[in-house]
Amino acid sequence: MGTRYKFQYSTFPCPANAAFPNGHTAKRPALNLDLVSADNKRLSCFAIIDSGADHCTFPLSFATQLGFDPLKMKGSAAAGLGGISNTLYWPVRLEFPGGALQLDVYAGFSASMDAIGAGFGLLGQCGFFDRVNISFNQRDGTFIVEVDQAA
Amino acid sequence: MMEVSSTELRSEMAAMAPMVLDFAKLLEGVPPGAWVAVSADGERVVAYSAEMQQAIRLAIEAGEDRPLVFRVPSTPSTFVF
Repeated sequence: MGTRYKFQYSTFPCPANAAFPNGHTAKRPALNLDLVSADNKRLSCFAIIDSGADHCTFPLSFATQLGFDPLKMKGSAAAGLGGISNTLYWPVRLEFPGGALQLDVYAGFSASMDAIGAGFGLLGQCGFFDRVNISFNQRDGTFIVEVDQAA
Repeated sequence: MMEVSSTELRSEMAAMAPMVLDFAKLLEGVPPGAWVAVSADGERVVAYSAEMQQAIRLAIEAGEDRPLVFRVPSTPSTFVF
């Protein structure tokens, strides 16, 4: 059995619109982490644990901030509600606070995420869910990340 | 499957660095679409700008060496990925 880290969900404001005239608050399982490049450039950001994402994906602007060259990155189509877009992949290290967990992942970087104003990453199945155990208790407002001792 | 008691569960849990719990409170007064640089403890917005790089630069100038970056949504939408 590994070590378990318990977190509270974060709340995000969702202003009023036609469907939700009073606005509402979204509860999302968010973590803060550092993206670290091979040459040790670092960007601290937030990411949401998303079981619906096949891969860990971040806005393309994060890649350029880390000094990645989009012309060298490999592209793959990614489908979402916004349609299909080209997502560029590159290896990056995810470092979580306190040295609890470091994951080397082949992450996607998407211009579409920038276009829709998503300024955070997604922690998906490949690279995150296949390395740790996650349990959600949304009603209680908490989630648990269980990390193997050797992770 | 092995049951884990709540007492056992608590004893195996450890605390990570603090994270932002209430983004509405944190981002109060920050315009939609802005990139914000948040203090490493997640407690306050140190700087914001239309450009991520500018927000980071302003935060570093303000003494925050490793700010957390985040973008305020530009439209009142929910996210479905």
